[in-house]
Amino acid sequence: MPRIAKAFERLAAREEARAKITLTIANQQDEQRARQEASGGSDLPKQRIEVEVNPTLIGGWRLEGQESLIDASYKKHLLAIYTAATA
Amino acid sequence: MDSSIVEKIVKEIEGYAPKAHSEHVGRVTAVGDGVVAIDGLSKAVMSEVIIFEEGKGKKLEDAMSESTVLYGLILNLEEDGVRASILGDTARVVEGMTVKSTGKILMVPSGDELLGRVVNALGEPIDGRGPFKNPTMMPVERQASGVIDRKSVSVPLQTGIKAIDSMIPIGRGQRELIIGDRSTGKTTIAIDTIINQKNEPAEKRPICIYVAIGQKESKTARIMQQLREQGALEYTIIVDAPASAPATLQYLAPFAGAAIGEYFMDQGKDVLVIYDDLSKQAVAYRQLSLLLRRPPGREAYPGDIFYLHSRLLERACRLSDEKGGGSLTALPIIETLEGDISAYIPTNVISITDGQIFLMTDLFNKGVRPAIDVGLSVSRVGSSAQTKAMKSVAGTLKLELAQFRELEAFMQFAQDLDKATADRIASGQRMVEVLKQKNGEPISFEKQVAILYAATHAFFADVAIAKVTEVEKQFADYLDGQHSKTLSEIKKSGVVSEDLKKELNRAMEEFKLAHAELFTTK
Repeated sequence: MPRIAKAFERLAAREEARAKITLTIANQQDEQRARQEASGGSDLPKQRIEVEVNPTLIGGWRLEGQESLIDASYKKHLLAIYTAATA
Repeated sequence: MDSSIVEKIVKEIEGYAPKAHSEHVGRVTAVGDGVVAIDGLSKAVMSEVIIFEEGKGKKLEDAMSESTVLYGLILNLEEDGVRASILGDTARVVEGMTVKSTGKILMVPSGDELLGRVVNALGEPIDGRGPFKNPTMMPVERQASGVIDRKSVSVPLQTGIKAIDSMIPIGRGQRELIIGDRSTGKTTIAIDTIINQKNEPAEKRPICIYVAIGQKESKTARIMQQLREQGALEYTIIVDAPASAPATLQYLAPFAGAAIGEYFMDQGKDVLVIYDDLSKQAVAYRQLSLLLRRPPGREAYPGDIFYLHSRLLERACRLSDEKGGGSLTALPIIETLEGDISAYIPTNVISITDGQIFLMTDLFNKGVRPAIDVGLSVSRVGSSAQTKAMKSVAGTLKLELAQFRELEAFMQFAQDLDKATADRIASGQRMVEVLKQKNGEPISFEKQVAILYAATHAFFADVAIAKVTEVEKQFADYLDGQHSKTLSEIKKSGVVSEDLKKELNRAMEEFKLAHAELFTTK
């Protein structure tokens, strides 16, 4: 029985992790703008989205969850420019 | 930073239109021994290439310093995720890392600029001569050509080895297995075959691809050096997946070699691919399969080990004229243990290929090199590709040698043998000497025909057995110097006409007169 319970716990944790949507922004002030941009104009529902602050993004935002990733961070764009210039 | 790079970056920024599109991703849940378990990627397909996102959480300058993109290859699709192998350094992958789907299956570069180069199993150059400028990408896994697209093997592939070209002929588009214990000369046969292609006119010369699987780097370096010294590297590509490479790369290397070869075949050219060796590839695949938790079968190999080799070797073929008439000849190598050709992997590959060249340790140790066991060696389709000239001089050679091997056992009772048997044994011994050949010294087709013509016409009957090899060499040099016209006529016509027979008889007589001291059995 404890093993079955553990297995259910693991399944539940995995499903929760899959359902989780994370919006990563470079600094706290960008949250509102990032939410609007990520939702294509309309506000994303606050309760479903976990917001993380990661200064290494430099600017912009990154939305990840449910097997999808939209990376609109400045870091990604700068890396793309660097790769194109040095290739 | 270099001012030109700054200018480039400014230009890129000015013309840059940021695009943010949705990517299909998963997350690494477990990693170990070159294999990762990934949660997500539910839309991924088999053999799809994935990218590990290493830059996440790193500062821009650290992300920029990442030298190469780390790729993976999906090998298992499971109910709640996928399993993939890492095509690079496992230490760079951590749990929780985001993995991006590319929607592409694995491709390798191919094209003329690969000639003379050394690449890894992913087609990346590893010879320090810089990247390829404009290669054509070829899929590593491709369905073999169908029945309609093929035609029969009819053009010979000259190995330059008398024993093979005369008794176990190989045709362009054939799959001929080279099998034997360790250190019996398997690789030597393959390399001599590559070297011999320089005797072919440039327009008919096959592109050669040597795939080293699980070999020592020193051995591959030595082979490259040998090919360079002999002027054979310019039409050869080396695909190297050394023993130090991850199992995935050792498993992929033969497929990469086939993919590179298929590019040239599709262009209507002839290609020769050597897989050295498939036993090591099978071991690498077994390791990978066990790590992927696929059910083990006989000798712990996975159930699809036969399919692994059959789908690879089926890609060798000769295309029809409508498809350009190109060909891909495969010379897979298998290493046996204690001469056991009835083991699992050897029997599999023997049944897939169109024949085998079996090398024996005993013969090798006796000094018979190449140490080919004529009785166990066979070429199922090559005889239809053999030239008339070779057929006419070597038609009964295999049978005679097989009979000699049987009689050899009686040699210790030589005094009790009747004259006919004793003569047959003596003739067999001389024929064995004639067929001996040093490594790295392939002989052109026309010279082989002339030597075998002489051998089958009792030319060496009066030569002491110990001197046969020396006399043969002198006779070959004599033909080169005094009868080059006869040799070029054999090469041109591909037959030994009555006139050419007379010429060869005359050459034999002249040589005997000039070197009478060699023709004494003492």
